Amino acid sequence: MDADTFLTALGIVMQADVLLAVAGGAIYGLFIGAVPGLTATMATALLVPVTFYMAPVPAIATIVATTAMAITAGDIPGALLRIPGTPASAAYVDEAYALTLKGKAELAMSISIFFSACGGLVGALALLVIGPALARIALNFSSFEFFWLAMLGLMTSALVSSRDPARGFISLLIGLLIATVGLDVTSGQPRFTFGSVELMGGVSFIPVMIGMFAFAEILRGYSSNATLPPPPKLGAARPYKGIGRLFKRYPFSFLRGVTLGTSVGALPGVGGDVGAWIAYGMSRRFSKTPEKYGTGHEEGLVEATSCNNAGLSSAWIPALVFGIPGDAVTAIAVGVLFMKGLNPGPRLFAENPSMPTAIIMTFFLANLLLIPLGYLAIRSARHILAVPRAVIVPIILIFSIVGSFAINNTMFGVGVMLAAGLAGYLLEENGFPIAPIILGLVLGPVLERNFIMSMQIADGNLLGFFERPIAAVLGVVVCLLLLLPLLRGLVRWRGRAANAS
Amino acid sequence: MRIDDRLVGLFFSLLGLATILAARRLSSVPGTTYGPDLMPILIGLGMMGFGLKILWAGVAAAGTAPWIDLSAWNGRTRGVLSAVWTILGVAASIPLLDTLGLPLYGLLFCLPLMILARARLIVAVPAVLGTVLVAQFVFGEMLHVPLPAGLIPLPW
Repeated sequence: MDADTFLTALGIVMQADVLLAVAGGAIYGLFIGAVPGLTATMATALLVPVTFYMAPVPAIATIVATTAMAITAGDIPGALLRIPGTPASAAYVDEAYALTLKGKAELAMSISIFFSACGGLVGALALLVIGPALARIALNFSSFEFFWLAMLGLMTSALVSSRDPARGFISLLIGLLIATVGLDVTSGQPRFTFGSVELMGGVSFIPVMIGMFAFAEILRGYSSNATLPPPPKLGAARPYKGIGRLFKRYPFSFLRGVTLGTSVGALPGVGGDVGAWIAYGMSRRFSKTPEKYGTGHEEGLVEATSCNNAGLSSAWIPALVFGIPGDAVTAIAVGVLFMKGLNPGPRLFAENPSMPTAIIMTFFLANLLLIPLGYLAIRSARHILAVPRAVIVPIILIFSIVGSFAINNTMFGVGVMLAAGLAGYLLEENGFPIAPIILGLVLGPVLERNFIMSMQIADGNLLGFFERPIAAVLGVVVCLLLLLPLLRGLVRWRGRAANAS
Repeated sequence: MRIDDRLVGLFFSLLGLATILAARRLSSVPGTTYGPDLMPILIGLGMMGFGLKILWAGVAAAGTAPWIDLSAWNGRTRGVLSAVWTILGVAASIPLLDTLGLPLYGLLFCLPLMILARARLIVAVPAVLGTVLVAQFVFGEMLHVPLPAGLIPLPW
């Protein structure tokens, strides 16, 4: 990256609207993330209708700040009530809660927030360095490579998001099926529109996402035990006290956490959630005192929380460089970028390098802001947790309705949100993950366009998909991923057959 | 609400089949080999395959569990009422929001929901009023979304 690009990007980021967007997004994310039962993805989903009316950089800056803060703040109910705010924080919730039971709730929250911020900064640095370099390589990609990359992202997402691969794949296919509604990407003729004018433009991912993440979550909340245990009284200890000592004591844990988080997060379709689980397990394995794990030991928390936000930042590498999102949040962001006419991909880095650089810079701002806002969050944690769910749920519903309406200024969006919410509730209750649906919906047109183009270039010869070296490597990886569940099933079947005989 | 895997698998197998049949009716563009039907047919095939796998697993594991298990909602009268009110309330917004306007609709929809969730009136009324007015102002005034004001005159 040259100095001109850097300075232009810095100039974009230092605009008042971007700074306000980061601050507003972070405060909003802090509140939503800290309330048990409200997730970071829900926060992002509800935010998108507002970003619809913003310039591209402030819009993405708001999403980045909201997500970083909401995911980090999700550790607060984890530490105080043993209710993880995100799937990632579930990996170390017992450790954090054990620290709280020892009277060290401030320390547990301080570790989460401080090391998350540091991890996020390292992930952002990786994004800044690797992103443009990868984009230069990706400029030579043809439809074959983009097809395989999209396939890799979708397959991985379907495989890692559910214990049962069949359910993950069904979720993915639902998303892809919804994406086929509207004008066909190649011929321009209406497909599955049933004569509806509203469906001609396709199903907007925003009401679907609001329905599946916010409305479905509310329905699920009604069927679960809504009474939460009272949060423990916090002591007089200052937030972040003793953090420097932990940095000195566990430097390798921190480094391992951020390296793992950055690597795992950058894989298309994996996202940041898996990393925290691996990091916590790895920390225990390499620790000199593994027997202390589960009793309120800081080491595992340092590694897992560092990994968490590093993965969150690096998940944007495939999203920005290839246009292939790693998880639901980056899928939302990619959708927003498409809406703004900024098609993510290597061309964005080549044609308008200051724009992706400015977006990456907002990661630094958002993660730096985590530390002062985290301080306030720790001080006011008890008050945030005391806000009754009875008050929050109707507020979310009103914003869900207004947000869905605002996309096309018609009630059709509200209908889509309601249908998606009911479907999302039923699907998730029956073990079908939601993230692959959103990924399928956002990536469906990209996948189809590159698939049809590749089929036409290769004249229907599937071997043509493996003729270019990078396409061949990606294709083999995708095929192996597809075969993996089949091979696993075969081994299990043979094992059962051997036992029976 | 858990649904038996046999029903779930059957549903997705049939959805896959319906997708294939509907896609076959799409006309292809003259002169092109791969038209708008290709992707939906592949999706339909995948859905049928994975649906059949779930159906097969459901048949293999078939026990005495009910076809549709609603036990998560047992004894949760307020939860059931809240869920029904939420679904009907959002559905009602489609024909009613234009006439009632967001402030009145929001009040009529949210207040009973808050009371069902045992919120105190002294908290619920200002919370609902504040929310609908903020939503109306932010979206209607700042973002220029044409939200219907309806029957109640707005303070701006």
